[in-house]
Order: sequence, then C-alpha cells, then structure tokens
Amino acid sequence: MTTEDILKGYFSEKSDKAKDLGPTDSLLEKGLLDSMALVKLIVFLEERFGIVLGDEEFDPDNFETLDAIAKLIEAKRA
Amino acid sequence: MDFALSEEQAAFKKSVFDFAKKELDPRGAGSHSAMFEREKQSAFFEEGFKKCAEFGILSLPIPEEYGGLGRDVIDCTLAMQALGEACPDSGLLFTVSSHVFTCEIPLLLFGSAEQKQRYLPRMVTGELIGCHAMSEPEAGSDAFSIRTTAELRDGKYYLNGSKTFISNAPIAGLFLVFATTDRKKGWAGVTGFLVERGQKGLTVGKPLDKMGLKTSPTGEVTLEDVEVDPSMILGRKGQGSAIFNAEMEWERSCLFAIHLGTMQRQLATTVAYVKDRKQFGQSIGSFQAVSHKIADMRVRIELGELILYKVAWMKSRGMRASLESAISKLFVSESYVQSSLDAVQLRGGYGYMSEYEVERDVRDAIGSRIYSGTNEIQKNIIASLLGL
Repeated sequence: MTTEDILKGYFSEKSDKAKDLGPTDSLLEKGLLDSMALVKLIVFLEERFGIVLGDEEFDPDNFETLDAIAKLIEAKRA
Repeated sequence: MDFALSEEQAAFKKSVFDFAKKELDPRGAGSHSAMFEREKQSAFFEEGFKKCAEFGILSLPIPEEYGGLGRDVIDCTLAMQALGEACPDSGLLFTVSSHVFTCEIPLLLFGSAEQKQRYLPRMVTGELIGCHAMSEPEAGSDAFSIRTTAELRDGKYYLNGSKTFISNAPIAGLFLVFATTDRKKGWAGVTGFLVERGQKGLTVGKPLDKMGLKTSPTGEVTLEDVEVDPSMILGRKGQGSAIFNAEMEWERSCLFAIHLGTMQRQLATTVAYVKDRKQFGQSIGSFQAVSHKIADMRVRIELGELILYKVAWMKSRGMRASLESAISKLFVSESYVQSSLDAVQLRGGYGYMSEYEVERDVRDAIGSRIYSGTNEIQKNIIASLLGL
C-alpha cells in the first residue's frame, strides 16, 4: 500500500467527499481540511508514519493535496 | 519515570519565587496590598514589569544571542508557577505571559534572523512590549474566520480590519497582527504580520473595562490601509495557523502554570484562615464541610501540576502535545475557578468583601475559561483527537 493509498483511506474514512479524491485535488477546496481536521491529520501522520513534524512544517503548501502530504512524509522519512 | 524536579530546577523555581515575593508584592497604604489599590484604578504595574525584565522573566525562553536566558519550557513553566504563587497581581502576570508566550515565542520560532535581531533584544529588556492581535468582533472561537485582510498592491501589503480583546494593546509597541490574504482558504489563508506602533493607519482604542485582570491593559486595534512590507511577514504567507497553534501550546503550559501558582497561594492562606477562624467554639477547619473543600483544593493543585508538568516535559522533548495541552488548559482553568470560589465560600462574608482580596481571584479566574481557546473548544479538541 502506498503512502497516497493510506492517506486516501484516511480521508475516505472521515468523509464521503473524499470518495473520488485524486492525488492533486485540493483538500481545502473539497472541504476536507479545516483547522480542526488539520490537527487530527498531524497526529495521525506522526503516529502512522513515525515522524515528527516541526512547527515550520505546518505550511499550507504541505497539506494542499494528497501528493503534497505524501512528499512531506517521504522527505521526513528520508 | 521520575516525578522529582532536579536540584537546579528546584533552586531556579525558588529564586523566582523569592524575587516575586520581594519585588512584586509591595504593601500599599494601611493593611491593603498595593495591588488592591492598583486594581481599583485598573492601573498597569509598570514598575513590576520592569522588575520582571531586570530579573530575566521576559527573556526566559529567548536564546543568549538575543539577550535571553535560553531556558527550556520546563523552566518557564516552573518560573510562571512561582510567579503565580508569590505575586498577587494576576493582571501583571497575564501581561508578562502575553508578551513572552504570544509575541516573543512566535518571533523566536518563526521570525527571520533580521526580525529576531531587530525586536527580541528590546523585548527581553521590556523596552518594547508585544501584543498578539488575532481575535475579532466576528472571529473568536472560530479564530481562522478572521475578516482582517492583507491585500498585496504594488509590492506592499495593506491591512484592513478590526481586532478586539487584544491583551497589551494599549501599552504595546509591536503588534503581531493576523490577517487573511484569501478568505476562501480559511486557516490556510491566514498570515502573521509585524506592525509597529505609530505606523500610519494603526489605531489603538481606549483600554477595555473587564470583569477581572484589571491591571492588564486590553484594547481594540483598528487597521486602515496599514502598509506593510513583505519582509514583515512572520514566517511565510499562509503560515498564520502554524504560528497560532505553536504559541497556543506554549501559552497553555506557561500561562496556566501561573494559575496553578495562584491556587497554591489560595490554599495556603485559606488553610491558615480556617485554622484561625473560630465558630461554635472551635476552628472551622475541624468541620468536615470545611476540611473537605480544603482537600478538594489540594487535589486540584496536585492533578493540575501533574498535567502541566507532563505537557512541559513533552514539549521539552519535541513531542506534540495537542491532546495533553487541551486537557491541561481545561483542567487547570476549571480548577482555578472552583478553588477561587471555595476560597471565598470558606471565608463567608469576609470572602465576599473586596478588601479581603479573595473575591478578586474569582473575577480573575473566570477569564481563564475563555482565553487561550474556550474550554468548550478544548473539549472539541479532546473529542476530535479521540476520533469523534
């Protein structure tokens, strides 16, 4: 299972809006990532992928799409 | 697992307590504290703020290269707890906390080298007071729905909007203003800007009259076409929510440690009172209706200290403490309110009288349920992190 599959599964579990979510679709525009959802996502990412995200990594660009989140995770695990 | 403070930590905490007892609790006229008189006039304790700067309170978490002491979050928590216990001026301590944890800390964590060099050395000496301008008339708990806009025109940002309930605004020289560059983006459109007092278009209203914390000046800020160079963005464009979340975790540790200290002071004075006060031929502390309240006050302190220290410990190790800091904020603030009410109740009519200086704690404590994210929002966070 790829990182993107795991992420898509995470969002699909949270909302029906993620059913047809593509890797470059905007999570913000689809209404899948408000500020509370972001806090939950960060906790999930840290636990699921064993990474620690610094304050400076809470950048909207890093959470714009599934692709962007996957790249952030890969960069942290590298 | 080790629940004990190190010798150095204990000595540091005691040194802060001794400083605050000596310098921040002066007696006023007659039997009242100077604090009692200041509160009546809603007067800021400027001299106390300067003393805090001289002792190093304003520079606790700031690295030496900017004139700070470079203390970690555990030391900051211990220092704030000691201040709360020794200093009765909760308004002064609230101002200190706002300055350090909601203005210096964001600068330290997100500021450019130039921004840090420009502001932090003057902030640690108290020469420049900082404030954090987020809340708006229509954006409280829904913080990222702010309407203050930052519009880019010809290479400059122009800020327009109104901020309210801004701690330190009437005395601040530096304003960390949050504005949106794109409202449709919600949290992702929020950006922090550094704005100095005196900039054209920035207006600070008269101090607001509050229920408690009267010695901490609070005001409104209006921004009308305030021109800001892009170099004055704190962090990057769209990073406002990151700044806000990071500083809130600091504040939920350190500001609430002050309240824990206040609760310790309340307990000590209340135990002394119930031992001394006689009714029905005996000390009222011998009645279980009284002693059980005292026991409850002690339990709140013990549990509040455990969760506060845990959050500080987690943060000192770079661990995320979203859940724990929400629990801590919720528990300590509710405890602070209840213990303040108990301290009044146990003194009966005397507790209700202003001159005995206990009712002030109740008025000060109520705000703690509201600021740093209301307790209802903390419950939302806790439930949300449980998958609900």
